[in-house]
Order: sequence, then C-alpha cells, then structure tokens
Amino acid sequence: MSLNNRLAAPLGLYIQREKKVTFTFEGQEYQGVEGDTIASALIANNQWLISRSFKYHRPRGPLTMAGQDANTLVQLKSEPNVLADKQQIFRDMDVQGQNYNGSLENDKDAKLGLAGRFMPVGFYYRAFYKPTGIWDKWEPFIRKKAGLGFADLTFKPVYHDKAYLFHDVAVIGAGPAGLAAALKAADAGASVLLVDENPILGGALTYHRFDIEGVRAQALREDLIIKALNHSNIQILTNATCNGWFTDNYLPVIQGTRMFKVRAKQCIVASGAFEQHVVFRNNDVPGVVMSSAAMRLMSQYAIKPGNKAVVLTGNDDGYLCALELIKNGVEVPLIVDMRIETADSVLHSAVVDKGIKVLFNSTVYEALPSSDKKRLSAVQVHSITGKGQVSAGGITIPCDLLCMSAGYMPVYQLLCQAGAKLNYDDDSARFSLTNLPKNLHIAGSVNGIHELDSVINDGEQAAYKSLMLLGLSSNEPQVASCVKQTNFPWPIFKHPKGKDFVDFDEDLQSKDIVNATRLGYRDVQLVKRFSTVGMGPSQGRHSALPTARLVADATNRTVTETGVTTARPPFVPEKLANIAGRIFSPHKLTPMHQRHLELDAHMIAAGIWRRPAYYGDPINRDNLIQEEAKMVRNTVGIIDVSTLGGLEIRGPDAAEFVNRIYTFGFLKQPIGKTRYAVLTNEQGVVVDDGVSCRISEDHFYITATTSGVDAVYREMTKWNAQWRLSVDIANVTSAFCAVNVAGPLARKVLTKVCSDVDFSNESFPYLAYREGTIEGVPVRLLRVGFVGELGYEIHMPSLFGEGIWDLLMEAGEEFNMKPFGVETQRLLRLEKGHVIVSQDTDGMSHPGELSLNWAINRKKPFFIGSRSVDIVMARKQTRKLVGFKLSAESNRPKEGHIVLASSSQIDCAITGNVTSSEYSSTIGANIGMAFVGIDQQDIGSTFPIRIDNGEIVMAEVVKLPFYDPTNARQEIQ
Amino acid sequence: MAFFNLSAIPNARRSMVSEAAINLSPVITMGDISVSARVGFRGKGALNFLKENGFSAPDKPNQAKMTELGICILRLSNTEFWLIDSSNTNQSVIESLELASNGQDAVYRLYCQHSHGAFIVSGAPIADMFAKICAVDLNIDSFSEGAIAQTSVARVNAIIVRMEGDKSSTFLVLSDSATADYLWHSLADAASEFV
Amino acid sequence: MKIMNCPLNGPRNISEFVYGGEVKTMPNSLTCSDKEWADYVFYSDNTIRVITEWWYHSASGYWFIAERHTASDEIFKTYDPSELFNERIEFESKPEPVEEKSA
Repeated sequence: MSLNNRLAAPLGLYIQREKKVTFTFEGQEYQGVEGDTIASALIANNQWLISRSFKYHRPRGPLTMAGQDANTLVQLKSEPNVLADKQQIFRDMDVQGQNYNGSLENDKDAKLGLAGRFMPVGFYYRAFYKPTGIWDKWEPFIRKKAGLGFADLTFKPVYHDKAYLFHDVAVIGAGPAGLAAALKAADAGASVLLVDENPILGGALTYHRFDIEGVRAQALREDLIIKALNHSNIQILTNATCNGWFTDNYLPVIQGTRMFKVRAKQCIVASGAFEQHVVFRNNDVPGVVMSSAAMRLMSQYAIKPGNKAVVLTGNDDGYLCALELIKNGVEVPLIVDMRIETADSVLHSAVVDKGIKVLFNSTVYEALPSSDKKRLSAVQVHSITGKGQVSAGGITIPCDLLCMSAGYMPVYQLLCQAGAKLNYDDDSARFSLTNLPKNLHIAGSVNGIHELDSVINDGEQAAYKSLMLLGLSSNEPQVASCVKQTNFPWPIFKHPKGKDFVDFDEDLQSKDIVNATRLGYRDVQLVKRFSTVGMGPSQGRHSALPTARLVADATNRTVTETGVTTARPPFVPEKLANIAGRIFSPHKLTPMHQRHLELDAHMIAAGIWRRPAYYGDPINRDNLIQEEAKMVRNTVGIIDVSTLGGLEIRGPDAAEFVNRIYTFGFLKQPIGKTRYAVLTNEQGVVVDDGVSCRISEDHFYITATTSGVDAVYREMTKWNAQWRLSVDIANVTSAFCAVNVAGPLARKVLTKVCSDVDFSNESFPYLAYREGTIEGVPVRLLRVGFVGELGYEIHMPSLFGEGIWDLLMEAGEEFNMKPFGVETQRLLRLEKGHVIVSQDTDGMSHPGELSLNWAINRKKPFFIGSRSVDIVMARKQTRKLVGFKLSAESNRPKEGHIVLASSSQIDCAITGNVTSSEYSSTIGANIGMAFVGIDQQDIGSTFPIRIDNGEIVMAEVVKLPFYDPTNARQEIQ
Repeated sequence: MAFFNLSAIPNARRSMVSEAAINLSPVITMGDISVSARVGFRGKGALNFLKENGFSAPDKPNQAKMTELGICILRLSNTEFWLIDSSNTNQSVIESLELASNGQDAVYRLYCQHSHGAFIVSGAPIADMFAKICAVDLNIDSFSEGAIAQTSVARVNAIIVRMEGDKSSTFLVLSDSATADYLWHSLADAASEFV
Repeated sequence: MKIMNCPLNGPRNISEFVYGGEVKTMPNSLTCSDKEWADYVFYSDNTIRVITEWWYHSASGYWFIAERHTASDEIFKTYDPSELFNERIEFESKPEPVEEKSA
C-alpha cells in the first residue's frame, strides 16, 4: 500500500513518517506510520469506511478525528469499542469494524435503514409491549442485534493501578488557554499539573488556523511548549484524560493502565469546545467531517483529506479551513455560508483571491454517497429561505470531502459535574458557564473566548484567580472578552426523506426528536430517555445542542429554558480495570497463621480475619467437624481465638465506666473474677457481648466479638468524650492473641507449661481470672466454658503467640491434643446453647427475646439503652429465640430458612428464622436455634420450617442447652 | 497481681511478616523492625512522666523526634507518646521505662510493642511510592522531617513518620500487627516499579 | 472526594472518617416520658441549617465535632469535643423502689 496522500513535512505533528507500522484491518494488511491512529492510517490508504452505525448499519467514517464521536468504533482482539481516531496503531494489530452482519463492505443488515419507518422513535418501548409475552419472542433476536462489539472470554487481565498526585493547581487541557494558565501559575511558584488527552501539547494550536497567513499557531505553540516543558514547577501528563470532577477538586486522570487521583487546591478547566455539525440529509456519509477534523488530518497526520472539498460554514473558521485545504493542494470550489454575509471582509477577499466561490444564505441540504456507498461523491446545495427552510431545486457540486463549521459547544462536562450552570443566549447563540464552585476556574473557548489573544488572556486570568486563593502574588492580567460570533443559530435542515442525523451514535434523525415532543415528552431529560438521544458512547457531544434547539422550537421555548441533559462522570468511557485498580483487600492473620497452614487447616474468611474452619480436606468437612468435636468432648483440643476483640479500661473511674457501658453490674465485680458483659445500643438492641475480667480495682480487660470490637471501642470513646470520666480506653485486639484449651484433660496440658499458676478447681474455679507466665511470657488466663467443657483461654502478647502455640502443642501431644476450627467451635457452643451475637441475633433482638434477662442489672441508674430496654421488655413480646431438634435422618434446615406460623396454610405468616443449625453427633440429632413466634416457644411443641425446595420440616422446641444442662462438664476435677 | 511486663523476653518475639525478602526494588529498601523494642504511654501525666525520665517529647501532636540514644519519640496526640527503638539497641531503656510507669497517676502504658508491626522504608522516590497507597501528600514540602501522618495505607490504618537529617527519605511505618503481613506485601508491590 | 479538616490530623479524605450522628442532649432517662426518649433515640429534625455532628478519625481514634450545613454540605468548623463537654457527667441514682402494700 502506498502512502500516496501524505503531505510534506513540517505537517504531521503526531507522526514519525520514516517508521512504518504494518497492521491488518478487516483481514487486509495496511501500512501506516508510527503515531498514526487506526483512522488516520486507514485514511492515508484512502479507506474512509471504518465501521457501521448501531441501528441502521449505515457506513461510517471519521467525523472529528479527536475521539469525540462514536462513528468509528472498532474491535481489537481483546477490546471492543475502541475509538479508531484515538487508538494508535502498533505492529501486527488486528482491527475489525463493528455493527455488521457479514463483512464491513457487504453488510446483510444494511437494509435495516430502509425499514426505518417501521422503527419509529421509542420503538423499543412501544413495539414489544403488547400483547403480553411478546417480548419473550423478540428478546433473542434483539439481543443478537443489540450491543456493541464482542467480549474476548480468553482475555487475561493486565495490571492496572492508581496513584495520588498532589498539586497546587491542576490545569485540564493544554491548549493556548491551559498553557498560558499553567505558565503564569508556575511562574508565581505554584506547583502545576497540566493534563491533556492528546499525545502532544497545544490543543487547537496543533491543527487550527488562526490567521489568514497561517503562521501564528505554530510560532505560539512552540514558544509556549518550550516554556512549559522546561518549567520545573510544571508536571505534564499527555495522553491522559481527566474523567470527572469530584468534590474539593478530586480529579481522576486516566493515563494508560494507571488512574491518577489528583488532589488540586485549585483547578482550571481549559477543556476547549466541541465543533458542531449541521443537520441535513445523509450528513453521516464518509467524507462529511467537521472542519476541525480536516485540519487535524492535515496538520497532525500530514494527510491530504480529499481531492475536492466543499466547506459548509456558519462562522469565519470555515474560511480559514478552506485556506488550509487550498494550501495543501485540495481543490475547494465552494464555500457554502449559512449566514447572510461574512463578518470579516478581509477573510472573504482572501478566499475569493484563491478562486473559491462563496455562496451566502445557503446550505447543503443533502449529501450524495458514491455508488458503493463508501464515500461522499457530491453535495446538493440550496439557498435558505427561513429558519430551517430551503428553496426548491438546488445545485449539485461533486466533491469527496465536506467540511462542516456550524459552531462550538463548550466542553462543559467537568464543569457541570461540579455544579456549574450552562446558559445559552438564544439571540447570539453563545454559551456561558456560571455558578462555578470555589477553587474551580475556567478559561479559553470553554469560557466562550475564541480569539487567540483573548484566549491567552483568559488563561492568565484564571491562573491569577487561582494564585490569589493560594496566597501567591502575581500581576493581574487584562480581563478577556470576545465578540467573535462562532455559532450559527439554526444549522438544522429537516429533509422529508429523513436520514438528517441529530445523533450519529443512535441513528436519531430530526423527526425522531420532534416526534418525541409530540408524544408529550417536553423535558429534554424525558426526550433523552424516550428517544435514547445522547445515550450513546459520545454522550451528546454533538447531539445535545441540536436536540435542545429542536425541543425548544417544538415546544415554543428557548434553549435556555429547555436546558441540556445532565453531564455525569465519566467524561469518556473508562475501563472497569481502571476503576478497580490494584485491588486492596486487607485481611488479618493471627500469629499462629503459619502453623495452621502447616497443619492443613481449611482457612475461611471470618470478617476481615482468616481462620481455620477445621483441619483437613473440605471434602470431608462433616466428618472432620464431628471428629474434632468428639476430641474436645472426650480428651482435649486447642483452638486459636486470637480474633476475639480485646479492650482495656483503666483508671480511677474504670468500674463506673464499665458499669455505664454494659448491662450487668460491674461496680462490685471481684478482682480475679470474670463476668458476662452484654452491650445494648441506645435502641435497646443487643449489639455485642464478651467477658469482663477485673484485673485490679481500676483495671478491666474485656473481650468483644471479632466483628464488633472496633465499633464497641468507637462507641466507648465517644461516650467518654461526653462523660469525661477518668479512664483510659484501649483497643488491644491485636496486642493480644489467644487460644482456648478445652476438654476434660485441659488442666493437665496447662499444668505442664504454666508452673506459677495453681490450676486446681479450688484455687482457679470456673469463671476465675489469673495471670502467670509460660517460659517467661506473661499470660492472662480465663477459665471459660464457651464450648461446654473444662477450658482455659490463654491470652498473651501477640509477638509470643507462635512460640507459645508450639509449646502448648508439644505439651498436649501425650494427650493426643489437636487443634480444632471455628466451625467445630460453633457446633460445640450450639450444643451448649450459647448465643453468638450477630449470628443468632439481628437488628431487632432485645435481651428478652434472647432470654438474657439475667444479664441485666435493673437497679443501676444507667447503662446505654437502659431506658429502651425497659420500654421494649415491658411490651408484649412477639418472638423468642429457642433451641430446636430434628431427627438425624431429617433434612437439615440451613441458617436463614424461615419459620412459619402454620404447616398447613400456604399463605400463613412468617414468624421467625433459623439462626444456627448443625448436625450433632454428641446429641445424635440435627440441632439448632431459631426465632419463633411467641406462641411457638413451648418446650416439646413443634413448629414448621420451610427448607430448600419448599419442603416443610417440623422441628421440636428443646430446652437449652442441648448438652450437659447441669454444667457438670466444665466443673470436672 | 504482678506487673504484666510487655517488654519481657525480647528474644522470644516473632514478627508476623512471612516473606521478609519479597521486596525486589533496588531503589526502595524495606526493613521489618517489628521485633525491636517500643513502648507507648497515654494520659494526662504521660508528658511529665517522660520528662522525669529524661525524655523530652515534641511540642505538638503528630511530630516525632530522635533522642541521642536513637529512640524515636512520637507524639500522637496531646497525651499520647510512643517510643520506638528503631536501631534495636535500647531494649533495657525501653523496658525500664515501662516498669517505671507502673503505678504512676494518669500514665497508662500502651501495647504498641505487640499491637503493631514496625517497618522502615527508605529511598529517594519514597513519596511517589506512598502516593500509590496513601491519600496524604507525603512529599517533603508538605510532610517535613519529623512529621507524622496517622492515616490509611493500602486500606489499613497506619502511622507514618518521616525521619530527620540524613534519613529524611526514610519513613517509619507502624501498623496493626494482624495486617502487618498484608501491608508488607502491599508496600513491596508499590515499590516494585521503582528500578 | 470531600475533604474534612480534622482538628488533630488536618485535612483528610472524608473516607478516613466515621460519622457519629448529631450532637444531642440525652434527656434524663429515669424521669423523661417514653415519647421524649423515643424522640431522642430515633428522630432527627432533618431541616436545612447548620448542624453539630460527631465525627471520628479512624486512623488516630479521635472523636471531634463538626458544624456542617445540611444543604450545601459545607463544613464551617471542626473542634475538639472538650469545647462542648468539659465537665464530668453523673447519672443520678434510681429512687429506692417503694414497698408495695400487701394485698
């Protein structure tokens, strides 16, 4: 393939023409050069047809050459919906078009356009609605036709991450305004981040012609860029998109596989403006482009965009585009100016001098494609007779390029996300943005300033405002103003045969928008949702303005009154991988973690912790749990309970404080004793429990649930920020690790390792607290009965945990002591009828429902929730947590299965739910706990549980505990 | 009951970091000092207690300073102080200070020896590396020598201290011992791009 | 993301903080009516104005108070709770139960 339409240097800012790159498109090999996008490389090879439209499968080529439109979405091997005019080519890249059935050139579905009149606006909402059930027939067909591109299921994820960037000033957009702003701010000593989505700096200076001679832009660009690149206060990010504005100038800037989370004290948005198209029949034929796109092709890629071009304009910029085309060897027979006359007679003479004819008060009414539909062949020009009206008859001008300049829409997205209001003056057709939040500024064409000197001024003005707020001094620049009119007020020419596209993404024609208003959708937000206008990948960059104009016109309002649809982040489509980044998912490990792994523990997540569920292969789960349980019941086992929360309350008011927090009485708790501690919140709901150890008069050590401890600590410190008691509250969860040695032989194991504590029943009775040492390590010992056997919890400073574990395992060897996991512990405590707060309780459980009346001291003046507990406990109770039993052969209910009021009535009430359920080999039955209706709580009665597949099983209410009701086991000698 | 000495038997301490050698960056060095001695005190009497024992603490919260012995004193609030023996040569000083606090009015000994892991992370691009995992600006202009940030690092709470003088590109990082292994790996991952 | 100024730690991402509810005065739980208690526990005015709230900085375990406007979300000031709470709060004892007369 030749590069026959490349222009000579110095054109081609983006490309390195000597470095050839070969790639394939639609199975055919093409050659581009380094720096080419897919679109520029294809156009360099005269391939204008790049993709097809979503709905009618119309042939499409580039429109903006800036990634602003969705006309040229293409498929790469592992990535759909790639912007062909943004994605650079690389060697052996494999590119396919999208939205066709067959091949890009011969699309079997291209005739869908002919059926357009059977697919009116709102088609999806209306056509498949009746009769009932018709959607099921249509759905498979629509699913096949809808959607963009395909997902590669063999795709391997790539490492993406995020990083913060901190700057005084962030400047979004490195056009003349952005560069001027960045330089002024940096000169005054601010640290500046300059972000631009393009590969090189300069914005419009990289393609736009600002003067008749065409010399200003390049000189100014080179000057500004050299200053910016060499400024030590400026950090530059190119090929980087600021994809949103969030509160306090939190700016996500995506560059490749990294998302920068920019924090800027001041932010200047110099995002520029989107050139707008003209609405006429066949305005989507490949070869119909924005004037800026033609200039980008020439200046950035050194591509001659056509042989014969017509310029359709509503402003002076079209004339400058014509001059640029002529300069680069494109024949320009005609400028079609929609205005009555040009504002600039010098410019007019300049084009006439070049032999270009100018037709005023005229428009292109229809574009004519070549017979193969792949490229523009001519335009039909008519004179304008009124707003959107043209004369009958017209002239046909052969051409292969049409450049459109209808005006500009500010790139308002980031600013509107920040709460700015977009205003439109219906007379001058100019936009303005007001109501900007503090620390956010605006400069350049997004601010409605288009003349180059004013743009520079405006950038400096924005920098000055930022510097004032930063407290940095700088000279006040002139206030910029701009009189240049760039927007033609009504560039919309409806054609009776349609295909006059308002929205290229969704193939929406002008009549679709008007019809939506006729169906009663007057609000642009409703028009958008009904017609899908602006919902495509280009998010209304070109459709928002004509839609607003059409809706305003059809409803006899102004554009200011109708407004435009809401702009939300992201500004351009972003990959989920960018949002996810490198995923940080913290987990907590106990000091014995490596030992559990060595012992083949099956580790599970218990909140943020990793804990052994049981030891062995999950395939044998049920057996392993029963075996571990038997070991604890018959000999001795050890479990890592380091995940237990730990809190220390110290100081003269320690007892008073604990007494106010927990429901029991603690003022008279004896030193060396433990006491059950229940915590209710202010609503009277049980939210945590634990064991309080009184170490001395002014020192308590209290355990809390694994998942609850952080919240309990937070609540404690908040209460004392008000109460001002003389206590210190410390969360010592991670400072202490702990094991529970449990079983009839537990005392024998402990005696071997801890010689300075008397473990006899008399001197270390049930519920006592002792301190001792194991090999010099200070340990806290709690005589507990959580699993229903003789047991000791050993709490020790964490850095010693692994060593003490090893010592205990060695000491237990002669008794065949092995570790058991948390699932086994759950079974053992269930047999003993112990409630786990948050498993067997919910957000409504008050102490009465849990039969915890005994753990509440009603004589003390106050505990958190005391008044609420009084109120709810005085009411008639509606449910109760009970123990239940089912035969071993019965299907076992699962946690969460519902309890019904009646086993026979299908529509009876739900009275409760199962909270714990497991098979117990000790009891020889399926056992569990469940909330049941208050009339279902009688011991020996049965209640229905609906289990999987709707089966109803009848469970018998059993008095708790299931195991060892006299507590003889934990008192064993 | 007898004093429960958290500084006891330093040789039996074991760090929770499982793969100490995971960091592969040649320009960022990471050291695990979880087993070296440290102690903390909180309460209205803590500042005075330290002074009486020859330690002058920083004037303001979230400041740290190094003593001549090489113990780094962190002031985490008006009434909370941690002493970190980053060189691990002052075990006896730390231990005797802990014992001296016993029975002092309004001086509460804290548990940082065991509740926290401790790392030393060092290298010229340290601020850029931390910007990948931490939302606080840790560049030297905003986070000067001796500054402390109590913040979230890779989604776990941590205390970051910028050391002084010729160690100004060194951060001392203290974080929950239960997530120390996780954080160590996250730090190594953040460091890996700096070659 | 919003930035909040912590009186102890300075300006930080709002994600470093935990909301602790409005600062409210607890009625005397022994003498107030059920309605007064329910009002205290469950109800907020939810009007457009500057409200006083509890906020907690997780990483340092520090509670403070913020004055924030409910509509604009602007935070006007943050300060240590000792500015509002500087005296030890006591709860009065429950009155001795009156002996019931035997029937």
